[in-house]
Amino acid sequence: MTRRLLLFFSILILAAVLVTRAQVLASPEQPVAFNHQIHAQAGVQCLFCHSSALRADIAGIPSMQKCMGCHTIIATDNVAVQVLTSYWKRKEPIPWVRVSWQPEFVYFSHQAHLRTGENCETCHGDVGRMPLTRPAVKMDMGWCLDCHLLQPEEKVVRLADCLTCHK
Amino acid sequence: MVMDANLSVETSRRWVLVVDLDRCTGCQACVVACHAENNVPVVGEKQAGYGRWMHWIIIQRYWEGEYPNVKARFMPVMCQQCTEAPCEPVCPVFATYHNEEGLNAQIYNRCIGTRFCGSACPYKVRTYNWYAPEFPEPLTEQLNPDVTVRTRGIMEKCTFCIQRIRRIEIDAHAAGRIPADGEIQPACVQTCPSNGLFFGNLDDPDSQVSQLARGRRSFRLLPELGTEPGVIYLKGGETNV
Amino acid sequence: MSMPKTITRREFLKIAAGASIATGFTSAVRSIVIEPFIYPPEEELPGQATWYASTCRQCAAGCGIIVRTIDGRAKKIEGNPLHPLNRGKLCARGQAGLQVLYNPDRLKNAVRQVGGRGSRQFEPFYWPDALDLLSSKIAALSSTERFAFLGGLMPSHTYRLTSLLLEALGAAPPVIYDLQSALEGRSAVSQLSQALFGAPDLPEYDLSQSDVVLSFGANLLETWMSPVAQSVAYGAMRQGSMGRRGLLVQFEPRLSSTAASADEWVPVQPGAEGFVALAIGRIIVEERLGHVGSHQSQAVLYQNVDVRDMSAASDVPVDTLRHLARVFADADRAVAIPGGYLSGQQNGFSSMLAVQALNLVIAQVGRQGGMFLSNPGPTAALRQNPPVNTFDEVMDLIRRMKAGEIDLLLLHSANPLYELPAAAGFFEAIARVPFVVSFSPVVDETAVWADLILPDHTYLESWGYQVPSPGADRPVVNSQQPVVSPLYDTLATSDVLLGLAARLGGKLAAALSWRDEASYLEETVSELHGSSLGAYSARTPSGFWALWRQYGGWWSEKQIRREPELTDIVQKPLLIAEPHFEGDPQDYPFHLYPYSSITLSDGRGANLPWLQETPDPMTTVQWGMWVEINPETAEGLGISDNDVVQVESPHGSMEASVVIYPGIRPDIVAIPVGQGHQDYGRFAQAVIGSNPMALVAPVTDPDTGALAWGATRVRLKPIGKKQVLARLESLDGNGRESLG
Repeated sequence: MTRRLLLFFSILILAAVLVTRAQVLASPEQPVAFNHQIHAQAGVQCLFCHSSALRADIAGIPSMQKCMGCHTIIATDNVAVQVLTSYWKRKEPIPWVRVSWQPEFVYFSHQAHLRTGENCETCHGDVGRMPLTRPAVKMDMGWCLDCHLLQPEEKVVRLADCLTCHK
Repeated sequence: MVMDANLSVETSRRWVLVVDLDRCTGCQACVVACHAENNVPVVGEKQAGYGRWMHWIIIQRYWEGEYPNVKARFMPVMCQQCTEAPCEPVCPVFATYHNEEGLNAQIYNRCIGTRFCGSACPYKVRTYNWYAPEFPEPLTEQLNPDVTVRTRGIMEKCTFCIQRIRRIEIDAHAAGRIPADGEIQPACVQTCPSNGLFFGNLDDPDSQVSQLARGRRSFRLLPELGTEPGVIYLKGGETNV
Repeated sequence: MSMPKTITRREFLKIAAGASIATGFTSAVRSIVIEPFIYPPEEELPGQATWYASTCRQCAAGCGIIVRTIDGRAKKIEGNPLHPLNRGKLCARGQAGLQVLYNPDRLKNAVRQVGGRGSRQFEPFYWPDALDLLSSKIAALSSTERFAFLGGLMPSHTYRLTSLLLEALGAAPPVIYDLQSALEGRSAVSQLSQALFGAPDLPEYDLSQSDVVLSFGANLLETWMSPVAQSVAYGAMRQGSMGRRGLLVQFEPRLSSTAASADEWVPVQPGAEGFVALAIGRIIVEERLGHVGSHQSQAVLYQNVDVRDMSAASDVPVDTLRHLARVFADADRAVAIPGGYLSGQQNGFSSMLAVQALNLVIAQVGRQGGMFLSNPGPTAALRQNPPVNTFDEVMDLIRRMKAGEIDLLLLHSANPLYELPAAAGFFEAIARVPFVVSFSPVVDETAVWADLILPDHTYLESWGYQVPSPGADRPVVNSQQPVVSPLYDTLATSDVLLGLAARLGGKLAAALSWRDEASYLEETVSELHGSSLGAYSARTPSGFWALWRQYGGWWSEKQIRREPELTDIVQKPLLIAEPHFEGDPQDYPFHLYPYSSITLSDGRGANLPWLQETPDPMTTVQWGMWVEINPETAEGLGISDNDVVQVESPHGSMEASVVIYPGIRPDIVAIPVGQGHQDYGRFAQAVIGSNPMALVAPVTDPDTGALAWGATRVRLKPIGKKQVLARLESLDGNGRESLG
């Protein structure tokens, strides 16, 4: 009886882990159906909208004014753009749902990572081919260390130090 | 100091804090600066009365003698960042450990709140969150986003303002240089009105802290314990020559 | 998530697992909303700090600050490293300024009191209606003499606009009073400067270059005058140059934290500090001490002084006086400082004069390491700063209010019901005024008795300028700018005044013709543009306006110290009256010493949790309120630590727990000012305590009209109750705070 119960719970937990993982990597539902693929195909660079990635810890999401800089003219018949415009007219910020995030106890700097020559795609996946943005990887500590531990030996001491990322 | 092509400093840093007791006036500016910088919770009168205050830095006051020949001396005490830290080996989950720069680290999300480290600490500088911190709105706006807000059941202590060290290093790195001596200042050092606190690299023999540490006024707290603290005190009441 | 305490951890995990199965594991995925800016602020990167320079307004000193803001929210205040006064440094109160901005008990809009004054029932009031109502009240005054304005630590520009408004109306100028200024003797010091040097500007002491400092009751490392600038100088005096270490001697009946930092503490008989100064002067002149060739010109000052009499009156042995006179006169550079405690006596002015005269005797007036005068504002408009009125002038206003001669009272940054001695009768006086308006950002004790509260912005949301007084070693004008947008629907009082003038029209509109506060400031400040002294130069006025804000003010590039010129007052023998105290020594055996708290100052910091939680440096008490008495006195009365005593003066009484304090004269009872708030927000009201101003006799020094706050006698009565104070220090020495 106990053994059967144990088996049942093991399967349940395994299922839970799998479903959770699938959910973590799913694209969250957004208030505006923003399409990274179209923007990338149009030749818009990541840094055009996420302009502080090179200069600050946070890459930043573009201001509504920046969106409207193009969309007062471009693709005004698109449904998503019309939703954007309606937010703009009400002077309401779009409540975007975060796709990639780190817990509160983690310090992460986009600036520091881009400076070492990393690309956006290294962590965010091929966003330029994502009609709906989803996390490319589960950004947990093991995944961070996968990369940090592969660095030149003299850097690893620093890059594997807890205080480098834990705040 | 050795630098690689990317200007990252890979060698030899030993962060130390120097406390000049001849300059300390007991004014408490460091205490409030630390609260502001590190999201240190306020516990209120009742809990403070139980000794559950959360200050990362306190100014101890010692009376000497009797009226009218009485004196009071101040001594700021914060985590001594011991090289041989008694708090480290007792942590069952490795939440506290020593890093290569001489910092005694506390990793909050690892901490399970056994409080062994607090008991082991001879300087009694570790504080424990007996309750979840309260920040009535809009006091949450004062919180420093660079520092975790600790929750109930977590041990915490002075970090030498690791976030300020990291900030200056990243900014200096971005500007293609290494931080100058004295450029990195924990919040207490930054604000100290009488310039009684100094911060720097003890492994650099020319740094101000190294020079002060070599002076004859210098001493460390409870040296007989062999903890080799990273906080160096300078005796009050005499000149440096 | 909250859970009942009876559930064990194991049970909880089971329930949680079940719950997540039932809900399809949604709890595993978090949904975090991020909102973009609609219009991005200039120079602002998301998550990246932007620093704005401004001025600290936590006390009158005027330290330069820089404020770290992230995404439009202030996160940290630090000293402005460029500012000549505080040079990057800041005190505990300055650091706590964020909690003035983010105080949960701030008023969020204009309010009127609907349940009658004192009911504390407020209802939001639309700003234009509030201005209409107030202007109609002004217009309806039968005579403009029936209009009064009481201010405290007012911003300079608000003070000037108020003065212009009152002048155009033909009403009396604002009356300025605050407790901190009274405790540090601001008006008395200003009068002393006027008498000695023919200018009302405050002295500035060159501590950093001094070898010997005699501080007569000046708490220069705590709250007195410009504590941060003085602490910076103190640090340099101690260990600034190799091989030199300045000496500090503190004369004070209680070992304050300044006295604790001093090399010698001399517990003088209260009110007898001037006698010590006279004796030291007499010894110097008599024994021809020091570097000055002849003391002939000063001999006249001390011709009536008998050192033995002075020693007996002050309780300081003749040997000590001789020793100190030699140390003081023989030093290369020495300075004597008349502090706030002297001004709190009925012989305050003459005592302060005697102390200042010591600087003449050793020729340290206008000399390195000695005393200088603060530079006044560089332009006419910048010289119109809030003066501190004397207590006599405040009493005159109270008398007029009581007599029903005032119909409209406006209050700005003043909390007289808390800050005046209760015996001054402000409570009875305010009740007689038909309409009262407060500009306080929080409901303080006085605002409770207002009909209307028109909350001003807090200082991190405000514009302004300030000429620091005492000043630095060069001319300085601080700039103040909003570092964040106002959090709530508050309105700058200067804009209220301009709005009133526009509504009232005529002469008023002509006198206050600026469009808004910022345009007034831009115009006033532009007078500095083009000055050859400035540390920076701009080609255009708008360029200057930008740099003025970026630097946090304007100051001279080079050191320019103002050497005072002497008037003839110091050619007559110095005389000091015997100190008088309220209360018969038989009935009231102790002197009351109410002192400014290093954390709460005069009580304005009591609503900031950081400052409440911060231990008092000497007693290590947090959040509390206490009475300090000498161990011997305590033994005599059978009192031990934490016993509650009743402190009674001829004017009132209060209760508080006792702290047995080794560093205090046996005839002194010291109580910190700052607690005992009836209103002023949850953190101020959380502390059990009373306001020692209930005890203070409303008497003055007849020479200056300043409040003699140290001239009250009290008695102590244990009430047989204990109330344990929260202290960092444990009384058995086994607590967390002490080593070994």
